[in-house]
Amino acid sequence: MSRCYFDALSGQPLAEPAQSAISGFISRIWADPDQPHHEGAQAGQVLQAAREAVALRLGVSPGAVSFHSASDVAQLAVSGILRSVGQRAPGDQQRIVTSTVERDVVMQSTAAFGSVRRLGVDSEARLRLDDFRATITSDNDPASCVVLQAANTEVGTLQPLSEVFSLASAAGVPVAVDATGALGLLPIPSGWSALIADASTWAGPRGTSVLVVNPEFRWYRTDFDRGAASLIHDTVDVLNATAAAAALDATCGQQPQLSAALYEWTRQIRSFVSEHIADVDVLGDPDERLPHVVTFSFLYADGERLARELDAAGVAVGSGSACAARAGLPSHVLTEMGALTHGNIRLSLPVTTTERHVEHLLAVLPDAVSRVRAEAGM
Amino acid sequence: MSADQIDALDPLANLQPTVTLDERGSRCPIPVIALGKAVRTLLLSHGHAGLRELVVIELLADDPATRSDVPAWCRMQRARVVSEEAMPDETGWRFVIALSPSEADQGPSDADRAESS
Repeated sequence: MSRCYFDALSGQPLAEPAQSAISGFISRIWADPDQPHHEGAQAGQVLQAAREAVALRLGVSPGAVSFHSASDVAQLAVSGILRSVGQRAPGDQQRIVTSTVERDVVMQSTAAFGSVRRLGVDSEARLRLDDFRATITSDNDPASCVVLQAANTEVGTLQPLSEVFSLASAAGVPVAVDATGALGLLPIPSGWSALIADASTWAGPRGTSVLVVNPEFRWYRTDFDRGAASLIHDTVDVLNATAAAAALDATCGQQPQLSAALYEWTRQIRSFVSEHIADVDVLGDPDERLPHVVTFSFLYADGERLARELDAAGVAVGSGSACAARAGLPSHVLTEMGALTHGNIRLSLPVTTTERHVEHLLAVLPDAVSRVRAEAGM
Repeated sequence: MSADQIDALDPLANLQPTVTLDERGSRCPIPVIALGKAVRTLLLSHGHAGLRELVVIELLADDPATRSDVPAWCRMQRARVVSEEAMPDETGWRFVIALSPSEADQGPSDADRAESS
């Protein structure tokens, strides 16, 4: 039995055109794309082609696109917006409005600037719009910037982006959207000032992210950025950038059929588990969600133990709270939702998923859960 | 109204626990498993008709995940958290959980599990 891989959100096989791009360029493109010599110019051309490919898919100009490492892209977006909007009055502290369920790297990047207001979510991890409206229109605590995910990558729920964009726009507050998990799979509504997304979302290289600036937003360029062909100086190498662009192009090219198929499979998995396994929390919005993500908390089961049991049965899944488990704390997303934090596994289907993979998962999951519960005496 | 005053009004707040579980030192999901086992034992002792009287469980735990998981367990098992308080000297939390006869009757899953095992 070959492997069934369901942990796309933490990395998935590179799309074939991305593999070809890397193998085609790896021996030829190695120079600094900013250098004027022949070798540098060659690298610069490849990078520019990558920008153009992403720009075409997002409906922006190539200069609005830059490529970064996943660990610094959120910080670049937030600091860039704050620098661009400036302080309302000298000495004013800038205020960021965000949610309590952002990805860790985004949480950290917001904590580094100004004061941060983290708004709570409902039981499906969706931002509460009433709270957001009240916060964004508050005169005595004006926001400088909103930072919000397009979808929660732990449970799949889509955030009410269109509503957030129109409320923020009416209040004159720019929004940075984290489209990790969504870009390439779902249309992202317009209205963001900056968009970031990790390329593993669309079968690009993990750890490489794109940062896209809305052409209508007056982005303040630093001295460091002024030499670059884009608004913002790229911080990853040309090979990763070109692989990310080739993968986005390939994944977008399979739409809308790809997302429709993924959505239908995750719907089947959700309903199978609700029907055949007792004492389980099926997390996230059943409809308004990422097409490829489904997350469960199985009562009385140890999530990491269950992930190992499934791995032994040929199925790779994410142990949802694994990251937090290392710190000995429950997942902040599950805690905010009021969900069961143990027994948590996240399935995120890669773009290469087939019917056979889903069938194998459903064939082994009930017994794996029973075995882990039986070990615990339940 | 202070929390104490609310407690005084809640008829469940001052009940003696039927069962006390001390799960300090165990990591999640073990404290929640202990709750599940306690309920299973109670259901077995009460037979097919389900719980005949109100059951109050006191749980002591120090894994911070129990602060999410105990309320989530109650939601899934139709029980309710009567109170949660921090233990002195940061040694954990004390939860008081109530299962009323009607609530337990509606929760078939643990009864089924108790029968099948």
